[in-house]
Amino acid sequence: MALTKHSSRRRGRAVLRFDRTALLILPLIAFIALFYLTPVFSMLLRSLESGEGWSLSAFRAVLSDGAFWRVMQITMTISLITTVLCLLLGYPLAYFIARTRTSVANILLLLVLMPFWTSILVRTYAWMVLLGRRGVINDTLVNIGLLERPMQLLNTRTAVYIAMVHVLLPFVVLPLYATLKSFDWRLVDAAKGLGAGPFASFRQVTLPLSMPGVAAGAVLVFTLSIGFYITPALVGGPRDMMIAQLIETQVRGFNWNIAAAMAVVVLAAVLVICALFARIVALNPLMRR
Amino acid sequence: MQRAGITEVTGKRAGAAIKFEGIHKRYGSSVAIERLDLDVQQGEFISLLGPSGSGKSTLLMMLAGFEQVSGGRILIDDCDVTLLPPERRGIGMVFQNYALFPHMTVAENIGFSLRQTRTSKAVIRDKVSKMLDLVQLSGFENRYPQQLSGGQQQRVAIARAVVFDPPVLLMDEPLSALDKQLREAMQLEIKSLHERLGITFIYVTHDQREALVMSDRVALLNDGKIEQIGSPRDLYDRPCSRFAASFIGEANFLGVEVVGAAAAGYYDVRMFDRTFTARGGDGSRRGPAQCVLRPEKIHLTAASDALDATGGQLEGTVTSALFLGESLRYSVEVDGCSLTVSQPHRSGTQTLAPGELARLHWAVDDFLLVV
Repeated sequence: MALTKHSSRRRGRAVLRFDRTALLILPLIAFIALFYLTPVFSMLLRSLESGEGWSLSAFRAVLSDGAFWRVMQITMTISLITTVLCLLLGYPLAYFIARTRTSVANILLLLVLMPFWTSILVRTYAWMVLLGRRGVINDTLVNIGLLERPMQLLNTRTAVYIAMVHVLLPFVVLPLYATLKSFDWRLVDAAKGLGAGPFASFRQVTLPLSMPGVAAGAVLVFTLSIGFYITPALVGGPRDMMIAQLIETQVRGFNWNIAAAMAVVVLAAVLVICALFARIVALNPLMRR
Repeated sequence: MQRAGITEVTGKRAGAAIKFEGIHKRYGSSVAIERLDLDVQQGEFISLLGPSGSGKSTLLMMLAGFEQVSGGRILIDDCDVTLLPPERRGIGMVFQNYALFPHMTVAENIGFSLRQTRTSKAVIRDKVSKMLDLVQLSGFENRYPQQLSGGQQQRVAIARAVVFDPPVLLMDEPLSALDKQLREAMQLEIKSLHERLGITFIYVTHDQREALVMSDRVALLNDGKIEQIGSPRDLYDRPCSRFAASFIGEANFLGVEVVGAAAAGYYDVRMFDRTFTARGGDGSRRGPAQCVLRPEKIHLTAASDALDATGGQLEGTVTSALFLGESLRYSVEVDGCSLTVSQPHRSGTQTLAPGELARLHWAVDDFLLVV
């Protein structure tokens, strides 16, 4: 998201000058304006409402609320760790898929995409079945004698990470796969020919050149994580409340302006993080081209 | 594997001798290279020339270590490198599309190999700037490859491949991406670089002119085998086969019947119901064969002109005449057989028109019997 902004701005100029096909994106712009910008704007208005006219009282209440900051911190921590886990697990997989034979690669890509065809709710329930006190994992471990009593798996932070990584993994694998698939592997040959061993050539050539894919995947996973609701609510414990749940409790209590103010703060935080990220990535000479 | 390189960049370094022993390479059931032996001398500039699929690139990749051999040995200075990974062979390589690291500056690209061996920053800077001098790119150290022209990228690739004093430089069709003029200029530059560095160059190309211009020796590959190896002159003047004659330069092929040996190395052959003398290898041959006559070695005159009688001659009818600027190109039909003749365009040269009778004349040594 933050990545395409950078390049599309340059390309956009050329498109407007030379190409009337740019008109074809007008329907999409209209759609986004109607169904995305309008609600965001109305939310912004809500957050400024109070009993008697316009005020910043909702923001004041939210920003001075210790619970809000605690939940914000939990949300950021969970999102960051989920992102890192997804990258660590997804990079080797994407690398392997990009380098293996097409027939194998197609099967693996299918498997990566498979979770997308199941509803997130169903997948979360599946994890509840697996991780529960009398769930498949605990039962098996107790039966083969590794555990004396079932252990607490469900309603822990670990369960949140497992379930979220499971849901979000395709979002890093796909952009990374796309980057690595179009990667010029002769550069690795060149590096080896110049005396760099397998690890050195990965660190100095493959990894830096796949950073656009890493960045795209990381931004996707991170922003999606921040908005997670069902998964932490069902498999997490009481200490794993994420911001979406907090907003939901405000909505349920009809504190619309508080809920809206929270949403605005989160949106602003996400935008700032994406902007910082785009800046870091833009420093990469590859993206400056 | 880091060699004790001579620090002076422009100084002469010792090249390595390279030996391919009984190399073969299979991909599944198809054979890419078949029991190939090749000795490359120290400091030699050798070209591997051949059509695509002849195995020339595969041979180079096996020497560099990017491809495994299916059998045989590769020796660099009598040291068996067959099983060494590429990063431990210490060979410089220029790739077809240069393979410059797009995320590194020119200086970082050139210094890449030195950074792998914990060379001090000062030494790296020094060597890189000497290299930039050598390839005439001083002042470009902080550019990125994509900001350079094709020719400049080419020079960076060469500098990067020789900065660590390798005893051998491999080049895989390095000029194929450049336009004709630049290609010709780069050919001369690479040749002079070879003279200055004194290391062994192995150059893969499908362009026969390139191979002829630059090399000390040319190995002509066909179907995974060495068809012929020798100096550019040898290959052009004494092709050993129909393939060699047609791949390097142009050739008219004439079906002949060998009827007997003439003087040593010469044969009597019959064609068009007449007997001619042709030059061939040693040994005694009999029966049907092919003779090669290169278009520019035929002298063409009007049939009515008198001619001294050494060498061979035939009469025919001009069927087409093309003016190519530096030369005139004729098709002449002799007894139902069409020959191409090329004549230099000089003032005073007689021009023949289609339909005219012409006499073709050649020196005995230019009429070659091939297999």
